[in-house]
Amino acid sequence: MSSYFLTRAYPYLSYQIRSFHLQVTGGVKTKLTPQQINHVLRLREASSAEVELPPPIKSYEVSQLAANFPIEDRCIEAQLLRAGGMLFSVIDGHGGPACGQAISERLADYVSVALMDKDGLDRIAREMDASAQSNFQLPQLVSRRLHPGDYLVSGQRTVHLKWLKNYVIDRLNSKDDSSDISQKLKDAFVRLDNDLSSCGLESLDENDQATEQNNLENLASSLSGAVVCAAYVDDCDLYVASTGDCSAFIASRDDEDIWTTKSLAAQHTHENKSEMERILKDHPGEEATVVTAERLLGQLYPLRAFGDCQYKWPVAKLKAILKNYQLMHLFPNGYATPPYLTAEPDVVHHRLIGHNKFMMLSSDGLFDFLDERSAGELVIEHMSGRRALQPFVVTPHSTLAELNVRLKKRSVAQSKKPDDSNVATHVIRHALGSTVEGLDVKKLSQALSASVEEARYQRDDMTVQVVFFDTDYLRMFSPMESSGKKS
Amino acid sequence: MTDVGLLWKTRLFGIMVRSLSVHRWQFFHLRNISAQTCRHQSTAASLPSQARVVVCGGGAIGVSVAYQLTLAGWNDVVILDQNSVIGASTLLSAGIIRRLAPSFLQTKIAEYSNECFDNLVKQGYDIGLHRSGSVHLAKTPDRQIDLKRQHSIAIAAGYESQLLTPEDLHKKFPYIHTADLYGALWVPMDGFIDPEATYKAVLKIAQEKGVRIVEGCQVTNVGLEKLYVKDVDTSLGKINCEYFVNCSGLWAREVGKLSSRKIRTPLHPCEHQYLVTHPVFPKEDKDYPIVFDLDNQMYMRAQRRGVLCGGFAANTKVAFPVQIPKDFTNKTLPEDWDSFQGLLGSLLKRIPSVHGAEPLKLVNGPVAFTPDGRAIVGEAPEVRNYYIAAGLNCKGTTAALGLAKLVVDRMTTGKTEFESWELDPRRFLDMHNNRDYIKSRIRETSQWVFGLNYPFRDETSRSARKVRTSSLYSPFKAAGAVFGQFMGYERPLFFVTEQMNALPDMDFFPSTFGKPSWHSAVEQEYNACRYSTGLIDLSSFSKFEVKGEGAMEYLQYLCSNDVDVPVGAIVHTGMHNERGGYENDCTVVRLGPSTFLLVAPTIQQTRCKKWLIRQRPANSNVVIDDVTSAYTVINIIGPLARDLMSHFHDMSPAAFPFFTCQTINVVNASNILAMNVTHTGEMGWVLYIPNEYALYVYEQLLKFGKDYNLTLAGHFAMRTLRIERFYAFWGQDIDSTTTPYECGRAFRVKFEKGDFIGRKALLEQQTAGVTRSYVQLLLDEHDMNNDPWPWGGEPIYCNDRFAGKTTTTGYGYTLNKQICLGTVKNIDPATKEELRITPEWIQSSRFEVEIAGKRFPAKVNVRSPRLPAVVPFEHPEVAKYATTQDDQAGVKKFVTKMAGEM
Repeated sequence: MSSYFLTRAYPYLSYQIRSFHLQVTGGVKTKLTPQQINHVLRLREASSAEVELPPPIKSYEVSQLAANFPIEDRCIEAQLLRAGGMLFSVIDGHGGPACGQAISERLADYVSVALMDKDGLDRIAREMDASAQSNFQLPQLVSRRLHPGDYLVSGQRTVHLKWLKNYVIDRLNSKDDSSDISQKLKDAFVRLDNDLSSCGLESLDENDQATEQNNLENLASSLSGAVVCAAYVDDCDLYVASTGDCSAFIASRDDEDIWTTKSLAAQHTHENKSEMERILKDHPGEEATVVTAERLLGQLYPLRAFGDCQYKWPVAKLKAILKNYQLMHLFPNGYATPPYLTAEPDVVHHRLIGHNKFMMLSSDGLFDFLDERSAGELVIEHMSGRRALQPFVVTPHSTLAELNVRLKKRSVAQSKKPDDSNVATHVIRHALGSTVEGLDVKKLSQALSASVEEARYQRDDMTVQVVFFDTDYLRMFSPMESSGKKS
Repeated sequence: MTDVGLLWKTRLFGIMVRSLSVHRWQFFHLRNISAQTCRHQSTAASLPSQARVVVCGGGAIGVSVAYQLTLAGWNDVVILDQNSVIGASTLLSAGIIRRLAPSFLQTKIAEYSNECFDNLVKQGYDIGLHRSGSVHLAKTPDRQIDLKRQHSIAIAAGYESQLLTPEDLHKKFPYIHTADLYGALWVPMDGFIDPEATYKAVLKIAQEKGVRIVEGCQVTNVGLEKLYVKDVDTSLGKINCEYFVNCSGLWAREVGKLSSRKIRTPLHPCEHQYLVTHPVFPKEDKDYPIVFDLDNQMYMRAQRRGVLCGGFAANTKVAFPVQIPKDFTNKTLPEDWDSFQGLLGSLLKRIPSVHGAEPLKLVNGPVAFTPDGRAIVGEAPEVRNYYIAAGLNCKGTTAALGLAKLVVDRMTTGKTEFESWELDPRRFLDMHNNRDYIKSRIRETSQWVFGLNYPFRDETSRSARKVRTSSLYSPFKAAGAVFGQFMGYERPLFFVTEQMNALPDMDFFPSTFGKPSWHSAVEQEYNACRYSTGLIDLSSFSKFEVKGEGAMEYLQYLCSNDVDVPVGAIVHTGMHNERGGYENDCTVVRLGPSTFLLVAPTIQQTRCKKWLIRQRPANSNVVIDDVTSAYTVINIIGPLARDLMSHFHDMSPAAFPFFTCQTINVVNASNILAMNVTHTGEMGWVLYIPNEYALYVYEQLLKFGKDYNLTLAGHFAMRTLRIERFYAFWGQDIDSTTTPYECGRAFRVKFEKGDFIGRKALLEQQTAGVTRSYVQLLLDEHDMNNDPWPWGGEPIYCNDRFAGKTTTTGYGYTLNKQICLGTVKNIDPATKEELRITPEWIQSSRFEVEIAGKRFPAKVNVRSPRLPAVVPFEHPEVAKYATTQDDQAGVKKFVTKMAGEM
């Protein structure tokens, strides 16, 4: 099954990566040249350059580095056209890319639907009905930019539309009229996960040739998994919904020029006490088996996730499906009282203020090498280094002494002038190549020239998404005191 | 797998092609612009069809050359400028007159320019001349010594300067921050001019005498006929001329390429920035001195009531890394505040009162620098009547008139008032004209404008090293050699000893004015050469093969010594100019009846070849080949050299006499030309080894040399050996103004052999006597551990009157004294007349050498001193090696005898 996924839909990009692996595993390990290192690091970088973004978002920069082949991380930067605001998301897939891929194609639509009011939903429903008679086009709810290497799985669009339409109708009929955005985000997450799960279950029932390809895809989506961290920015309100162990933090500079970072995503792992309590409470009497060797049922590291229906489906159904596909080895030990796993996120609300400079979302692959603080410092360093790239302008009536102070700051920045113009790539480069003495090309070269098999053991896929805020806008439209509440 | 690799290469190649095409595009872009500019400009004045001299470039130097030509009576001069005369470089100059200079020549040039400024004022021109004085600040003890050395030169040259303590300085100029200073030098007659007014006045005078200017005229080709300048093609047409002077500043290198024979003009611009502020000072500019904060690479002067501050910080940038756009004329470069921060910080620290000042403008103008930091002034070696005056290294505005005089003297009379070899275009090889080489060098030489004038600064410079190496470079390096570059050629200066190994990075040993770190290492090498055997690499020497029918007669006419010697004999000889001065000092080896090998100093490689070719009669069959690169040259030197060399060949005095050469084998290697001669006065053999045998021969010499304490020795050891023996080297001690009578080498002049160049002048001098003498001075009372050492260029005083300057110096390990070589004159204090020098005058006079302000009494030798014999059973012949200054009848006898035997 996995070869089926391997051989499709990676026209150009993966070929490049593979060529590296072949070269270096073919014989003697050759040191990569600086140009080759740049090439690998920048293969999947993207930025908001030349795109108009809704305030207070000034810009965003993204970069990904694969360890798996193909990469299992995904990310989303999408403007919600109907609901307003913007959604950023880092998706860290496991057990194959299918689940992460499905989420990356669908999550923004689900969040849009969850956030829209009844009028909007009504309009959508009618548009969908109309298009159903013609050629079944999905109304455009979001504007999402695909990165180099991103793709859409053909055929899945129809499946997605079917389920999304149900969601629209359910939302229309729902009695819940609350305006709690946190709750709506949770609803979108859970609903998407349920739909993926149901999709997979259907594959058991509809076993005809015509839909086999889609069935396989659907089954792969529900049997692989993904952890997701999504940040929704609606004017000066920031909501971060996180399922699993991705990370998100916001960095602020106060009036004394002191930088602080604040974590916005809870980690759903065995180290999280309340998370452990929740699981044990849901499965009384299974203390010995539910979390063993730091993992759910001894297998899964994150304690919440999308997909991974082998921890969600009823026992009988799971057995039936696994048997059908000769996948019984996936059946977990001690699987008694499903579901063991949920996609329900924790949502943190943060009110953006003028001090907030940027936010970083990243998959846990980065944090095997860095902590939040040093990641933040790398971004800050890059910001000041980038300042040196701008020409110096003499402000009217400044004295020589004042100019000297400014120039000195710039000269410090000049020495930190980064190799990468993309801040996310800068962070990844330093995560892999930093030593006490600074960047070590040899270390970078080693990390990047590892074969597929080696790479998977040395590091995980990395995704870094940095979102810069427009300080001036925030100063003008947001009250100065910050408020954060967990919902 | 292969396909994938191929794909990769294709991609990389694609990237390369893309980046290349960007450059291409820029190039074409610039070309297009310049083409447009040409068309635009070609509406200007009409071009005469004929002029005696065409001056290309109407900047300060071009205008000055025209002016000096009119003073010499040459009025048929045309100045061509691609834009307009007195262009940007002149207008952008800070106009500072700085007379302090590390050498007598530069001091003289500055002095002469100054006289010109005074003359202009006397003639009623307002050139904005203000003699507000200058202070040169010393922030380090070494800078203090450097300033004292220059102070000595100033006093000797006869202008006023005064050393100040920080307290004196503070009293005089309270607004200068002095807490971090060791002292300062006050030069009251320094000041500044208005460059525009000055050179417009100079131009006006020249124009009144008949000099014409044509603006908007671009030179496109310098036409030649039989290697003489014939005409100049321009964007406005052709102009016939006899002389061409390249004064085109930044473009001089490009102009140099505009003739069928490319003229080496190695220079390239660096960015030079200065800041002008709004008013800060309460009084007008002429009340404030110019401040040279040398250790911060900064100068500062008041301009009106504001500050003008500039300099060359360590991050000085090379301007136009790709190509100088032809349409750049009269424009500035974009201001670069980031690069200026260092200087700005220094200014704020040095003159705290400028803190609140507001900037008026930051001016960034390109300034041409040369790879050795010295201007290029004189006739080009490639083409006759083609002169260059360019690469003024930031001294253009104030030195232009003096430099112009040098060129014009050379052009109109063939000689100059002062020797200007250090500025001569003949000091360059093709390697110097390589743009990448120039660019890497000028980053360093731009620092020398305010840098410390340490001894061996050029030899030990850090940029563009290891370009020319002998085939023994690697084994020498492995043996601990520390190299110095000379004409780009890496020569071992000394070899580190075990004690020295602890020092980090000996490749660039610490510079000092005092006792150098290599003193004891050189002593060991010296002792080996004096008492056992040493091995010295002489590969860098210039080597020429002169052969063909008539070669002997041809050389007889060039050389003052008799070169019609038996085949196999060696002759040390001078080649003179018409005035009897040394054009070259070389060793001529007669390899066959019409085949000669000619060995000259390293720096003579271009100059010597040019001289040889120019003197060769038309239709001559003599062939001149530069074979410098064909041989690795090893000198086996010292009293045991004969014993060592006897392992390879019969080296007995009878079989291999002094001043002869033979082709020998060294074990399995053949075709090695061995010469029984040295350049230092010790006994020894110089082996000319075809490069491919060099490593083998070297290893054999080391193997057999073990029993003779054969020690690797560097050029510092050779230098001190020859200085102690009173051996003069061309380019260091003697130059084109020195005659054999002045340096005790008359015994090598053979009038009886017939005519030769300079014979007449030398005959006259033989009867008239000399007014200048080359002497060896042994310093007394010098504390070598604490006093600054002599390094050359120090003033010599005779009976408390300035008598001359030292040339090369060294510590004599046998005489245990500091030894200076130098020239002295007997100048009548009343009439300033140079009197004839007699041995009596020298013997009866009291000599002193002034080093950094302190005078040391000196004992004077006019002949080589007798050094103690070092081997008990010395062959009577050995004494003959001891000197070149004495009568060489004995040597001649040997040669004759040998000839008889052959």
